[in-house]
Amino acid sequence: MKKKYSIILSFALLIAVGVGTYFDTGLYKNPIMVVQDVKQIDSIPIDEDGNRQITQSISGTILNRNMKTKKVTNQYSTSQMTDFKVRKGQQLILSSNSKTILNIKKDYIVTSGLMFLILLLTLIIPTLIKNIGIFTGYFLLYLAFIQLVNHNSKYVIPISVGMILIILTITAIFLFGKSKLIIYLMSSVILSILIAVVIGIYCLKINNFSEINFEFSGAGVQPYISVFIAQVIFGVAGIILDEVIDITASMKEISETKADITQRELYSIGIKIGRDLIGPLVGILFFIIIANHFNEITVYLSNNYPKKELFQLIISSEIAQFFISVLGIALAVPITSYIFSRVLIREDN
Amino acid sequence: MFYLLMVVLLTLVFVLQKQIFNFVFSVLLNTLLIYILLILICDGFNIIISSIILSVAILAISIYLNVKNQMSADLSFKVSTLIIIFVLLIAILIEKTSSIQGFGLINIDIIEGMQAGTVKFDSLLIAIIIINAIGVVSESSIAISEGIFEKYQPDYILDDKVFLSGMKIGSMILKAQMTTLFLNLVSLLFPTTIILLRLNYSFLEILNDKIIVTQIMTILICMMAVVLTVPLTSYYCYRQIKKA
Repeated sequence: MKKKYSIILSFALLIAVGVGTYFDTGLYKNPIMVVQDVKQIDSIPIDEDGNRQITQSISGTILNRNMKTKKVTNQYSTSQMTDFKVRKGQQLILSSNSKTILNIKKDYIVTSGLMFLILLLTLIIPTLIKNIGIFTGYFLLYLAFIQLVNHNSKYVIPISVGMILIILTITAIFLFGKSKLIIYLMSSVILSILIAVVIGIYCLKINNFSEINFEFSGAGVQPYISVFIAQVIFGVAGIILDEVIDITASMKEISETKADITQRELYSIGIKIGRDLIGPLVGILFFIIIANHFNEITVYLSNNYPKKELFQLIISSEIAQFFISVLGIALAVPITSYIFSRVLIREDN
Repeated sequence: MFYLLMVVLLTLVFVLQKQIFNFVFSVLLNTLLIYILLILICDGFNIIISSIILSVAILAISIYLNVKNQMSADLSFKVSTLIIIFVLLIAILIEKTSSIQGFGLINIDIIEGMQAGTVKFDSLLIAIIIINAIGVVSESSIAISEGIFEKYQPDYILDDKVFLSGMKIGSMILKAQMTTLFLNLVSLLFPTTIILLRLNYSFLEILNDKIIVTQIMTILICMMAVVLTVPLTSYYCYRQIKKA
């Protein structure tokens, strides 16, 4: 009975946090207006593609300043490339004189999304509730990481590597259990990433990074190359850990059931398991990397930009990231199989 | 880039051997399908419909090319398609409430002097979210269904354990997948966050920034999709084995 109450209480808390951020307007210095009425007052054609510029008259109540009713106007193009349509119920962040719209308040969307995810997780797999604490820890780690990187931009790589090592080790222990094998597991992951990054950067350095435009792709944060390397490592580390754990778990199972297996046989079993993993794992990375540049690519394509320029300007650094990551994912297979075929056989003896 | 490509291909040949053809073929096919999707979008086709059709095609390719067991391939395909429909619904909801489509203050200089053409960025956001989710969803459902079918042969006497063992395998995959997605989010997010910090944005301003919210929401939706994949795959495996 007690358990039931605590579950209901935690659900209520989750929902309260999600919904609560909708009402956190007191935290904002700028006036926040909740939209109560939207009227389209003007619509002018702006190009041959059928795009129009729409003017909206918006009225609503200022929530964090004596609840006065206000009227503002908003202009947007129907493509909504850089601007936005205002809808009823949305909250707008206004300039301090309450005359222009600066932004749409979106914090409650992030928190509600997060809370919905946690609810889903706890409803479907209750044993994973423990992991929410870990992810909160990761999030705090991220905040610390951002502050550190912001103040010591020279040390982006060591700081990132430190953070990744912490996260990977915790995840590995959670997935694999506390065991001596964790050391070998982590060394397989680190070796694969390290070799892939070193080879990748060396290959790109031959042409002095001339083919890659760091300024537009990613976010163009200096120091470009260090940030690029950190991005590569962050992007691929989780995938490689996943792969290494899959390979070792199967190898361990086989070495336990077949006592007379030789190191060579075990190695080839590891390679065989790893081969089947590469395709789907590369797929995950491919779609995440490409989808995040849809906006830029479609604009360049519809403006009939030469494909070569599009390639160099927009996605060159992402393609380099993809290649280095694939290299890491591929290398992890022989590296893990080799390390564990030695370790597991030695342990058996 | 050429040297890098060569090194990658050589390594793949060394590791994959005969399977390299299958791998290169599926990567090229996926690239082609994404390219077709982009062309359709630029030519003014309905973005949501074309991205649904092409993502189902992509799912079919990535599942049927990678999975040898016919039963588990059919099942993964069915589950992934269902999950993609869920992703579509959530994406529409997000688009209608948050207005996070298009370019934000940070990346607006990339498109200086360019026109939107026929592209509608609100629908494009939905396509972005769907394509993001395809890889993780198909990978998780393949892993779960293969895990179950490996253990349970068709002549196995059925009990509820099929569902439970699916959930157990699934929760392991979920833990790994969550970390992968979280690290991917960090990879996307941290350069943007640093730029905003350098522009003296406050925490609240960062949390309301278009690009930050887009990146966070995309990954959150991917995570929701993976979470839902676990019970759905387990349930369909249970039904499949019951039928057999």
